[in-house]
Amino acid sequence: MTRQCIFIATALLVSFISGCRETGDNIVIIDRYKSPHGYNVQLIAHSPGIDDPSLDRRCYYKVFINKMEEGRTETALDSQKKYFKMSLPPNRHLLRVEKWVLDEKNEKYVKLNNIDQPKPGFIYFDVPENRIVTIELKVNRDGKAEYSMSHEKE
Amino acid sequence: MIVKRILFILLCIFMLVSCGKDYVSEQEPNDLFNQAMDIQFDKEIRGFLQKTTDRDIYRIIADTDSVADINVTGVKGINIAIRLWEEKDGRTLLKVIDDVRKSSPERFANLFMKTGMTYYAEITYGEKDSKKASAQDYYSLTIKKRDAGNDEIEPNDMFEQATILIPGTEISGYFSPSYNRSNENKDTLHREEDWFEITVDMETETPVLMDVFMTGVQGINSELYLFGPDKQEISKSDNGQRGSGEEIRGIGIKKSGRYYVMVTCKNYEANHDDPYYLTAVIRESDSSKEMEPNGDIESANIIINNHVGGEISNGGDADFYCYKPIDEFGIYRILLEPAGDDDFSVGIYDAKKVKITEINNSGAGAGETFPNLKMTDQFYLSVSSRIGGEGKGKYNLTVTPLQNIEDMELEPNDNKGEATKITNGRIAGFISHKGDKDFFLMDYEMRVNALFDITGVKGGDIKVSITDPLGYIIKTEQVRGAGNVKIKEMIEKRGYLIVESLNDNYENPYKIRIKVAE
Repeated sequence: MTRQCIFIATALLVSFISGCRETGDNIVIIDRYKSPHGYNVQLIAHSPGIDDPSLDRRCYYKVFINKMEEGRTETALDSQKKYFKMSLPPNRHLLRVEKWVLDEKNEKYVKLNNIDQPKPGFIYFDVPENRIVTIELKVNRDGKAEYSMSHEKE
Repeated sequence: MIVKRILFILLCIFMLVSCGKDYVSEQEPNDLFNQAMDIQFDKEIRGFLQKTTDRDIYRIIADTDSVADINVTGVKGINIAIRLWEEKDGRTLLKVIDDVRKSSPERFANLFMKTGMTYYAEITYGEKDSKKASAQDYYSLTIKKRDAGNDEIEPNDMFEQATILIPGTEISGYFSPSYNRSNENKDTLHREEDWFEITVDMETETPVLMDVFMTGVQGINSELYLFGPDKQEISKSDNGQRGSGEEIRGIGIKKSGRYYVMVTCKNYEANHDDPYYLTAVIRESDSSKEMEPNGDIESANIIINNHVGGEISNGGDADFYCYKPIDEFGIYRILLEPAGDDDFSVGIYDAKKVKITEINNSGAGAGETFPNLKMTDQFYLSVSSRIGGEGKGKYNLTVTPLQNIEDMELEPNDNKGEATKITNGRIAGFISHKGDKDFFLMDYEMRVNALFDITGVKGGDIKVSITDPLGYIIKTEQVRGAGNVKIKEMIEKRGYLIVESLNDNYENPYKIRIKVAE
């Protein structure tokens, strides 16, 4: 009886977090994923480790999918999240990024030298059916890039 | 008897010798006016400044209206001078002729003498250096007379003494003497000036135009001035060259009165042999022609019927015009066409008389165009030649109001603050001046992906840039000639399109269409 109570309580708690469906006496826990609408891949790029305003330059990331230029993120400070959304067919894809920074003197953005580009500057990822893939790119102070992926939930 | 014969022969010889002399000697004492020695015209008089207090006075009696040319040679080591007097209700000093140099001659080419009047020529020491007597070296004074024609009436060294100049009639004068010791004006000290007076009697309120022409004189770098009834300078001509004439053209006369012409020269130059000839002309004004003075924005001529013809008289000269639009808002095409191989520029000023830009894109002989000037009020234009240049000549200036203009850049839009907003997804513009940079603002409710379809300038090259919301350039493409280039770029709600000229062409527009998708 005690075990049953603990199980039910745990199930209720989980149902708060995800979604749940009741079928007879059994409770099945399921995730509620957002369906793609207009885009199914989102890149979020930022450098959260920056804590010195003089190093926090305006920048954007140029995005290449399968070796073709797809577009760019919006412009923002390096420490801020920059977004780029795209729609890709379900498949395995190659994402490559190129960082451009503001040259304030010449009032234009210039490509960051290769040596300073985030490394690695690419990631392979899968796009399943009916999922929105979110790829978060975090770049640390040394230019080391970390990619994490998730499927966008409701 | 023999003695008598010898004396008679000697007397005859003496008479023969003295009759053959082509000069006469001064008769001292002649230091006072009542001791003055009468002169014979064209006859040389030899005299001496024998004491440091000496002066020699000669009397000239005019039997007809005539002009005297007074010439005295130099005396070694002495600064000699001539003072000219007129006997009229006492004696009046007319002129002091003194070039303040030792051993040099003095000359005054044209003293006007009136019938029956008595004049005196006083030969004396000049102001420079200590006075030094000379009993050995004589001076030679010669006064020649000629009939008075249509000459200036010297002395006419100030406007109160101005010689009357009748429009349409030529008058002559001399750059003589080199120094006028009576001129005590600090700015023009001892400068010789000839003043003339023109009376303008206007029958209607319609302005008339005055032209003044003066011939050049060898060795003289002359200047010509025109003054109004209030003695204020209206115009000046100085081409800066020795031996060439001066002219003031198309001066607008709006009220009756006495106008004054003043002739002078630089560096105390003189020419006692060759006269200058001066003419003034009064003519009807023409609203399609420039009316001087319009050398500053305050005296700008109003452009009537969108067109005016004018003339630049010398390098550095400028003509100003005011354009008063019929509508409150308008776009105008400005075109300046030189008549010859001249290189003129056009300045554009707003209603507050603040200069907006200067157009000087083309070389000599080519026109200047500003294809699309946006103005919401009256504005001013200036036409000028390069400062220090030789540019002078005629030109035509045309202002054409452009009708039914939509989706056109609104100049000036040379920076972000003046950017023309794109509202209908398309825009066209011109390279308006050298180094022109056109800014356009794109403003959307959300972030959009845009496709820019750019058609370049026929005969020119441009560079098109797209910026982030702050105006920093993200992407740039060049468009050669009338070629077509497409650019895809994201606009983060707001951004700027910048078109820069790489190779100027002021006649043909560029066109840009923008298709957006979310």
